[in-house]
Amino acid sequence: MKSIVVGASAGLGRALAEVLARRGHDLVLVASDSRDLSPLASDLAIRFGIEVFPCAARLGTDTQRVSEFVLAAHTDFDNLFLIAGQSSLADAGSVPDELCSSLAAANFNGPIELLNALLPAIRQQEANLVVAGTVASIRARKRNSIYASAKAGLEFYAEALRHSLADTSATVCCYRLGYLATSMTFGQRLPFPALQPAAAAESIIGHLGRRTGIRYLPGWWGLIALVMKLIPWPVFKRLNI
Amino acid sequence: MQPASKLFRSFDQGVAIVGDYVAPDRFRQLEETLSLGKPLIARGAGLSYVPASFGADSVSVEMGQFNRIMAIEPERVTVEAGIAIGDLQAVLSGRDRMLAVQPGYPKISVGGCIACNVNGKNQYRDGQFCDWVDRILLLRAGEEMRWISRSEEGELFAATCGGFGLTGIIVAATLRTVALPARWIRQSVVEVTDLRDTAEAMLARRDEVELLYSWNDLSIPGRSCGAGFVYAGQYEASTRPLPPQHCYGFGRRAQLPVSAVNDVSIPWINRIYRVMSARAGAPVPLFDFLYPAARQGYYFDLFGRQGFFETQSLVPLERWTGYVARLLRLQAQAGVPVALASVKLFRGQRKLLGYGGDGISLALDFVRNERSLAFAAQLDELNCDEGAISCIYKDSRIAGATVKRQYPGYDAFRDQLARFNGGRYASALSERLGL
Repeated sequence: MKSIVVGASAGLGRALAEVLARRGHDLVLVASDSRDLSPLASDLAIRFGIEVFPCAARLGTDTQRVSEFVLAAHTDFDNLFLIAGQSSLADAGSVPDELCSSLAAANFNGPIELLNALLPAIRQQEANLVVAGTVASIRARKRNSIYASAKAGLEFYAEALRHSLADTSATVCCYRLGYLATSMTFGQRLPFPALQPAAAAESIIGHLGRRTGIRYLPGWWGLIALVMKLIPWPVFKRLNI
Repeated sequence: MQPASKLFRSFDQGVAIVGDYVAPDRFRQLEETLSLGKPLIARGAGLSYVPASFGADSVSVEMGQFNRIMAIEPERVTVEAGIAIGDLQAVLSGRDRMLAVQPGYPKISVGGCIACNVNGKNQYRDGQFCDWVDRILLLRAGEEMRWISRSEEGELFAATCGGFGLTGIIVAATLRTVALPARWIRQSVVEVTDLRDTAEAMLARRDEVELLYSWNDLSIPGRSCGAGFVYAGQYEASTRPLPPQHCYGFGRRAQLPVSAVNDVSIPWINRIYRVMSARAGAPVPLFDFLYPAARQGYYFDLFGRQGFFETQSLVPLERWTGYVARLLRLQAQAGVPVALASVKLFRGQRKLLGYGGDGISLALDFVRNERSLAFAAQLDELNCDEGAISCIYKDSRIAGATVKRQYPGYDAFRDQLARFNGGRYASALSERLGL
């Protein structure tokens, strides 16, 4: 088995890589910083005796390098995990142009360009595609507006792919992820508990192959989502969230 | 990544400080810590008896995510500093290799072992942890992260080995490994009558066995004289299957409101241990022999919130008999029971503030209370008189002035730190020691 993890160097991406490695998958790992990627690749190869193919590149600015890397030698993948993303505490209201472009590229343009390039391979391999979305896109809010919008767009595209691949055994699952205990949430007072990346990874991998389009993780976020959507606008606009 | 705050405690519960910390999970974040504007101190597993990895005015840099194996060669391994000793050893065992020197609990990090230059159960034979470190990847403010070694920036390397993290953040290290002789230890148990007899028994066996340490009963002041057992271990090849490895976790520590280890229970605990030890002698899995705290970690939790403290004293061999006599007299006068006592043989050179040299190391555990702390102060004076040194990374109460009296290398270490520290790295330990 071979799996591709995009956004592998830390957090959920790293946790997925470790679980997959433990289960004997050869891995293609993509991350922006080779200083993180290289030791991870070495570690997993040494511990689990698998083959690991690292690709240091940033989605959004260097997407073509990733697609070329995969298409050159790794189109025999069984699973593709698109986890990479970028958020910022400054993503609220008016945002500097550079940050705006960066968030859109990392969370929307880059992932879609990559998936578009790899779609023939996904179809050919009838691979499982997992896309990391976010509960932040349940309902538009003033915070994380660009991040959530981009992820909402990515989720929409994932649903479109699911429709496109419906005549194959390929599966597409987009996860609306709640808080994860990673550096993204470090030090923040969170209104809800954060899930450990290792637990999230086990859940995601355990669910591979099932034809579920959108899944909340943890599952109870589905209830919160329902409540959020039902809040009338005159009330919602007053919420400081 | 902006720091958050939390309550830090030393493992012995002796020091509790609210301090700042960050938990980087990638190199970019690690580099950003250098710009936080406060002194930094690296933190591994956080299991040090002393406050070596936190401080009221410092930012602890938690290195737990930097725990990967970077490269493995036939006789060396390169790892990130946050990797746990036990996790690394598990990988090495699969290749019939091992680390020559290991502390007694498998969750301790490689970085922590380097910062304290720890010893194992075979110090006489294999020395200290840093004797097996070939190079260190060090991150320092205002400088490129780089590898240092005995031949490249040797002075900085020497200051970093046993430097308590005060020269920079240890990011990774290359360690030499040795062949794994076997996965079982044949443990012989020799009964000894007192601490003098213990030293003689160990000296008689020092060149014959691979692993050597003792347990001694000092639980009844004025009556106990250190009778107990010397454990000598030799590797034994065996085809018997290894049992599952269990590691006691210290996730929720010290919950007991009062200590279950006290003047009444200490003698009984030692009696029970004596009976159990007298039956020992069967082969022991290497994991259990290397990491006794993995199975018996509940011992530390029995001290409850009150906590404990440990003194470790390295006594010159020629002073041992007189030292023991004075120790026992002081104990009888103070009326303080020792919860746990253990002896190891040491060999080597004293360097800077390292706990090393030729002699006999005596570890004593006490319930943390006023009487025992007063007795420990008397032990400090005894050590100064007898040319012994106290182990800085075990004793959370020893004063800087005492360390200065005991360690001839104190001033040299401070001078070195003045060149390499620049006020950029600090902990509650370095504050207490006046470094």
